[in-house]
Amino acid sequence: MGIEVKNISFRIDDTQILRDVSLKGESGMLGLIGPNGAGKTTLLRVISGYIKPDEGQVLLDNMPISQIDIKTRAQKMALVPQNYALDYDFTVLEVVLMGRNPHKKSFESDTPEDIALARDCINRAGIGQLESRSIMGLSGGEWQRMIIARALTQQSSILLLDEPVSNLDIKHQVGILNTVRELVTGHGLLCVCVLHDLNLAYHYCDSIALMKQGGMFATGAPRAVVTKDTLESVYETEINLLHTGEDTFILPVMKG
Amino acid sequence: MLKQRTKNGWLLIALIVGGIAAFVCAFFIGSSGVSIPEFLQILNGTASDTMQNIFLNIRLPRAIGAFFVGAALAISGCALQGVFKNPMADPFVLGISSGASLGATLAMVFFSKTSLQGTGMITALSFVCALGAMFMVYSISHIRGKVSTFSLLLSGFAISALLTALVYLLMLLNRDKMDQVVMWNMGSLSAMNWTKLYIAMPVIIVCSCLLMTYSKPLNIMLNGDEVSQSLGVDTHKTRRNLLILTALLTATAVAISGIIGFVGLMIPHLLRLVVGPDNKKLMPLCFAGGGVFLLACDIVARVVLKGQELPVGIITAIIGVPFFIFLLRRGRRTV
Repeated sequence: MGIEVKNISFRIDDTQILRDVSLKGESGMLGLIGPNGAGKTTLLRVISGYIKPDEGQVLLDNMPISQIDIKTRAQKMALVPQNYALDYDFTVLEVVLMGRNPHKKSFESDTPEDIALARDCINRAGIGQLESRSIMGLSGGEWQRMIIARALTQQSSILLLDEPVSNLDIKHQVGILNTVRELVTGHGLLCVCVLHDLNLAYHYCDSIALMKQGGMFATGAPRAVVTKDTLESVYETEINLLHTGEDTFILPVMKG
Repeated sequence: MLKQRTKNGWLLIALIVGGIAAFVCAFFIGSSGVSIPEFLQILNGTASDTMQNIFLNIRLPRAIGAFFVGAALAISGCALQGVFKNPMADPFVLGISSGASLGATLAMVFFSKTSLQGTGMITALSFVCALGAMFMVYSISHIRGKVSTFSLLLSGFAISALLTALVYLLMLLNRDKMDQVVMWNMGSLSAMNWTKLYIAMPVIIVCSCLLMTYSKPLNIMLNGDEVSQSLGVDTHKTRRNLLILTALLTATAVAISGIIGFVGLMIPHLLRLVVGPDNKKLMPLCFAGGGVFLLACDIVARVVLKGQELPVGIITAIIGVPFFIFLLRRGRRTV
């Protein structure tokens, strides 16, 4: 069960984006970290099936993803992309209901059960009061929660999150990650999450995959992967780890 | 939600009432006026042959033709604006109009318009060339097994420019046909007849119904390819099917009426401002709204200048654009 990435390589023209990447996840929260251009988003796109790799394969529940049709794939795996434009005047409920599409025939209407489920997911994402609001007036945090609610409505066992908290203030960052964490723990989901904030990755993820220049540099439990040596080697800057009791905080060294 | 549903209901009622009123006006208004007693005589078959002919073979097919051409253009525009995620997309963006224009010009240059064969050739060649242009655009934009919106729009513009240049070349080499080509390009419903309708109506009805079955995937495709695929929509297959259906619809409409602009661009926008972006509501309303709008415009085109008919494309722009700007500024629902 879960996802297995086996020896994936992908290039665009002469640029090698991913090189021989392997990764495995069954449940819990798996953080993908690494500097800009390390290939995190591309790897997520390969896992989702949106990009076909040049070499290697992705197994979804032990089946090559290329052999699974798009609808079945969407029943098993939901994507929360980075902020994107949907400049149409849909309501929050209408957008969240789109998450039921993988379970529907193309002209099958939404049933009262679908609407009840969508409402429940909206409430779980903490935006129950916004159900009838137009999406045009949502803040960044509200938008992100709506997209998470839509992913939940898909009722898939795997969540793919691409920088879900970038551009959000600390309150919304923590709020969204707490929601995801509760869902992962409560429902036994697998969540593959691209994160830039090393402290959030360290504290919220069960395991971490650290990428560098298209390759997998280290994988394992946060304590094993997030060390001064690995981080300095990957990010090519001086980093300090501050240990206070049980907690560890990652701090870049300020120069000058 | 209830308020929105009530509003949609009122809009549907307004379209039905407006449609019936426009049909009735289309029968009564024209160069030969028809009085109510004459109309009743036509209905019970006791009117003169001339009157029967005017009603049954000129005004009735023209009114039905106007409705179906308007409906086809508006529902195609609605689908294409969704496929391209571009509010400027209309049925002619894929090079269809330039293809049809080239086909009609070829027919006018090489076949006499006065012969039955010549009239049939204009319809047939404009249809074939419109579809040919669309497939050229689609093939060019098919790169590495994928068709992106960007490459479709660009190749649409490129092929349109090439085909328009060929039309101009043919016009320059055959100056005696120039007026005829220009008039056809302005769009007119005056040459509508039952033969054209028997061919066009089934295509328009079937393709429109098929298009409506894609309303849900089309809503989802507004999220972009990556998100749409993650929500279970095969975007490449859906886009290909939608393009084939809209090309068939537009080519059919253009073949029987010439090029009528603004309907495919404007009607979906107007209705989206009122009912919102959900294609499940929008597509049927576009079909009805486009039909009623073009029927009304055709009536105006027939009566606005005494003793002379204007190309209906001029009327669609003059009536539609100010109304469109009014609704846009009122901004009840953002597009």
